[in-house]
Amino acid sequence: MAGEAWKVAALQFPLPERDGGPGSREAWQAELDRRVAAARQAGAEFVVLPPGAGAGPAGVPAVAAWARAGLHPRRLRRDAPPEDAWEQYCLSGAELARRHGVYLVPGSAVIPAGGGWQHAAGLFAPDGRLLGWQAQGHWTAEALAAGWLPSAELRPVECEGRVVALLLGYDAIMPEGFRLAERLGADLAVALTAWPVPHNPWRQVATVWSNVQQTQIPCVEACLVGPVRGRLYAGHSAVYGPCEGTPGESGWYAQADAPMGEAAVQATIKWDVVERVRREYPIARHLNPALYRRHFAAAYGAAPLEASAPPEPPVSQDPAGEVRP
Amino acid sequence: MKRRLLDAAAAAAAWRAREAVVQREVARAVEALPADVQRAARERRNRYLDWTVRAESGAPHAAARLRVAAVQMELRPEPTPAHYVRHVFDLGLRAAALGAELIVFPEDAATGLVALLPGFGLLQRAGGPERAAEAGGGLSVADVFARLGPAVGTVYRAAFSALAEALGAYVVAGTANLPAGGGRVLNIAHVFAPDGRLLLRQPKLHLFPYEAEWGIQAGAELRVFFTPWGAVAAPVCMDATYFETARIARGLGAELLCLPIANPEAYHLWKARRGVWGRAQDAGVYAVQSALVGDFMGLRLEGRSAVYAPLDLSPAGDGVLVEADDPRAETVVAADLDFEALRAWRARQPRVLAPGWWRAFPDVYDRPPPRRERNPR
Repeated sequence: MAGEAWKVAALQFPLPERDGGPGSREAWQAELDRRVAAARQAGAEFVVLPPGAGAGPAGVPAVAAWARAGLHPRRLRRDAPPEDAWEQYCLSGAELARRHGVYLVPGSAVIPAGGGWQHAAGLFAPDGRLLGWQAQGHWTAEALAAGWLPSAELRPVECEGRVVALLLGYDAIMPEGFRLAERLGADLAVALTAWPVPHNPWRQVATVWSNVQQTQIPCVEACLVGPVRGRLYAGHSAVYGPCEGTPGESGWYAQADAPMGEAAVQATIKWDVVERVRREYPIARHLNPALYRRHFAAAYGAAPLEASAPPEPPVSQDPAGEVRP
Repeated sequence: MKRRLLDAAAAAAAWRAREAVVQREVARAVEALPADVQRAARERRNRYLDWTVRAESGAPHAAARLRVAAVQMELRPEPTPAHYVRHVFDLGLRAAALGAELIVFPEDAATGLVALLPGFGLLQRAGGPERAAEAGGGLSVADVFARLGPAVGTVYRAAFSALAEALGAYVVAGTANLPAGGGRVLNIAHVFAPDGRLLLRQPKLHLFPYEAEWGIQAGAELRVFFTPWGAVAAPVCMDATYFETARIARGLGAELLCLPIANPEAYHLWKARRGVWGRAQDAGVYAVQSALVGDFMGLRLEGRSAVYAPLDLSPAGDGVLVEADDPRAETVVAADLDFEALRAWRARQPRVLAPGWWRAFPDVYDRPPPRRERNPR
């Protein structure tokens, strides 16, 4: 991947369902393999799969629970992810990245953690190394009460001399997620989102697109689409950037044509263009920290901190270390 | 030498805008209002005064539905107080004719008053505010605003205070660049109550990059004002580029943002959506946006005045209640806001928390600039 430009792709496709679709882990892995190969063949060097893709068929019920954003604990127990969900996710992701020589976010998985669950994703290098991972930080109060565990912090990942923030679910929807990423020096955000029907394209404009604009961080968003355990999801997977650096000054490099079907959205992000936009329209310089300090110390401090000490995801390897299938 | 000339011209402008002259023009404008407008205004003022008494005893909200108007005002030279007062009253009347009880004017609504300066035509031909200021002897644009402040402030405040009282309406009078003590010039929104009282002075909190180059300073605090419908904030233009503004406003109880804007570029849908439309979405508030339009001192200003709502509260699901058709023409648009519906909608929204991540706020703003700004490639 050249330092000056990244060829990125967001893939959009349904998760394996009980009726139809690949039912075994092997069949699903072959399906992912085919899709990543096609993206690579089309020139992509940095590939993002939709939420839940890396969970495999056994993990889909837990992904469905995540997408519903807040369930009764009894239901959560019934749909629990496999104990080795994170290991399986890492094995699958590392193999795909290595086989196709791409940087890969293989979607996400729900993983058991500290008596509850986390929703997490990782970024793999072309040699199969896990460069970094991230668990979701923002949750509804209902989901927190049901046993979902928020991550303690956002930890952007170093990748090819750039910094990538993995923003899962509400982390990409809430502007605070993008602001943290921007303050931590992120060059690129990866968003994994689930938009339940009825579909309204303005929802993504009001959230991910809008967050990209106010932080000037390009973003690759892969959406959950199609039916997932009885509920339908629809979204336009997309590659976003600050308006001034994108075709037609629209804020999109590329976008899936339809919100439900399969799509491979590809774009080239030229970093010199992004940086020129930031220099010429330097909105980050005009933040008003003194104002925020007076108001936000109380506003964000009022969050229930007792829920904020999650155990780290049960990665079986050092996040900076090597993952081998 | 040129500085002394500017000082002399500013003194002449102040003479043109002396209190007696301004009050005479305002009185003329009020007298010229149609009788039905005056009658309706009297009723609204009485309702307002009645509400202020009840509000003091703790009555929270006296009304659920509010018709708001967003004025799309042309920036043009206003060489005398009479020109300006007539201009402001003409637009105010158009808003009143639409039934508006809260009227929002655009950012830099007072800037046309720089034409009070004798020799303004020469400055205008200089080609841009910076060049005009330089022609004034190496002054900054802020220096010009500072010297003109007394004259501009007198006409601006008198015109809008009188308009608010004459219409019995809340008027967010757009903004004026005015001296604010300590040698600072702030871009300040003014809000007038239906009895003409000045309710709020809200300085712009986040500057457009060229304003910083002009020597304008950012304000320090966001405040809200209270109405029978609920609390309202009046941030200014670039303030809406940052979600933080709307978060703070909502934290202060605001259910409506009134945003004067002035964009010195061609209207562009997506660039426009980066502003208060987005803040209506992420803070769950209504928003009125008023745009300044026209060609002035080498600047072309375009924008669509509009009223926005959270997506779920807009008929087409796009967050737009009304939007001006033409981004270049002077016009007024109006829409009804249902605050009961907003409160019910808010109650249905999930509360989203990030107890771990949020511990980074507000310290995260004090971090050194991100690496990309330290080492621009």
